[in-house]
Amino acid sequence: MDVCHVARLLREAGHDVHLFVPRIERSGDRGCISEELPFPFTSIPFARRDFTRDRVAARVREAVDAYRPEGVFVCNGAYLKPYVLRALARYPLAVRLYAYEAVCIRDMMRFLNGAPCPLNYLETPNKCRRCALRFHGPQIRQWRFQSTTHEFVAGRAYMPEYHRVLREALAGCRTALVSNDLMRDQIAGLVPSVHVVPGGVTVSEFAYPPNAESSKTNKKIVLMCGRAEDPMKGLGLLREAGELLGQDRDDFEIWATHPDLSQSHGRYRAVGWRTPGQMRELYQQADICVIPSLWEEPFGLVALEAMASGKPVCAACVGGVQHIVRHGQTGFLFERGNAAALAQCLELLLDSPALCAEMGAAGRRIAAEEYDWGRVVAQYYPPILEELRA
Amino acid sequence: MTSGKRMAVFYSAGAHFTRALEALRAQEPGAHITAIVPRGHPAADVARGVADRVEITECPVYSPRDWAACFRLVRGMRAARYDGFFVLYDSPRLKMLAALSGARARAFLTASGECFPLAGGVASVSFSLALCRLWGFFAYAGMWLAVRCLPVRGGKA
Repeated sequence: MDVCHVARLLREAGHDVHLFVPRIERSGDRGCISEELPFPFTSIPFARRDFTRDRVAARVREAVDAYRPEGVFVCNGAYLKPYVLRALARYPLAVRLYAYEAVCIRDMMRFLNGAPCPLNYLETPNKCRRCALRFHGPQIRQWRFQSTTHEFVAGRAYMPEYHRVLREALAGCRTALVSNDLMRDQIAGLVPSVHVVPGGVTVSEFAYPPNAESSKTNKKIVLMCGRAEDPMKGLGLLREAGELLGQDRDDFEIWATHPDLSQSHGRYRAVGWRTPGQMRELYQQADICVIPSLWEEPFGLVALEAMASGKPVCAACVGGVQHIVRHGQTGFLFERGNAAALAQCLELLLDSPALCAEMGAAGRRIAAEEYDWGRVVAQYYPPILEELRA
Repeated sequence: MTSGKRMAVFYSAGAHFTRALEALRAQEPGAHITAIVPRGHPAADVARGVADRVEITECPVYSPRDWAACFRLVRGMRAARYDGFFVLYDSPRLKMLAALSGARARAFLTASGECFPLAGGVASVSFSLALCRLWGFFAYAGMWLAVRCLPVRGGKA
């Protein structure tokens, strides 16, 4: 999504942009481009057994060499990314890190036993290798992989060499693009320059002002979006806050995009996974959006989408979210894992529709002024392109 | 395949269920398509717009350990006598399910709508599953040894 918007806007700004996408044949949706793209792209097909570090690196290099670019952005990918970076070392490189792939080889989330993990693969590689193998072990033993484990095996991330390859690959880049300050600090000494570049949102796709008629219940809706089934997203915390609030009031419901609808009970309702279009409708129905994350969210796109929809946001003070949500202006920030603090924030908003509207309007304005894709690309990418050209 | 046949698409978690259904509908406009969707899943709503019939399964997720539920699922599929059975991934378990469905044509659908046949009967799929387990066991043992015996030099631990 990020790649698509940035590539389109760079092309509109006069740059010659070409996208290269490795694709595993006979796989579900990996590398599959099913929509018309507004820029040229090359799909590089691989048989599943050929999806190894050497072949991926060689085929990507071959495809990029034919194009002869002035600079290369290496974006998606996990454990094969260092090999691709190494293969493209002859070009000025910018690496985009979306999560904690440089410092967590377990699942790139840097979240363990209900809390952010204090370890860093660059500093404690042996502990992290053991942790990663424990995590991927069940799939490896059955030789039945999802894409991340497939890359873990293909990239031989369990081997000691991977640590050196990763460090060298990062050091060989001219610049890295990350989503928050924490990520910047983690790789600061390794990459010559690191830019904190936010994601964005197409504000015009989100209807505003919110349609008051769209709500299907007469209760206020507190909405949690994203992978609600993932414990690190903090649905349990939100439900705990709901229980605290529910002792004094019964004028709200908690909706979450959790796939298991059978868990709906009392004031909690699982609404299942939604498509992007359905998500926009869901934001319209909500009164308050909550991001109760327990991990260091790299960016926090959900907060931005809620703001673009004109909704106030209650978010845990973590990762990139804390920079998107303006405390007291577009919503409230609360201490990570503190259900009582979340309940207090929700109570303030539930008590005051005027405050919700005011914060929603401020959120919409900030989303449009600072995070619309056009603004993000125009503001953050010219200096990076200059660095690549230098 | 010709029109008028009975097709079934078995849901798996993933983003391309709807696209796969639509692609199958485009390829087989005259076929009677049944979408087999987990109980309580919103995919059922999506499927109702594309498939002719939506069949809701007993369990949200099937595990081989719950053999009784698996048996009932297979029995239901065989009773329906599908001509074509489609899954969304080329995994050993889904291959096994397709083989057990009794359908003559078995395939998996990709996000782009491509259709790849799933070869093999129950015996050969069982054999390949066992082989995967064995291979996986030895591969994991090798990785475990590498992690324990070949430390990264220069790391803190």
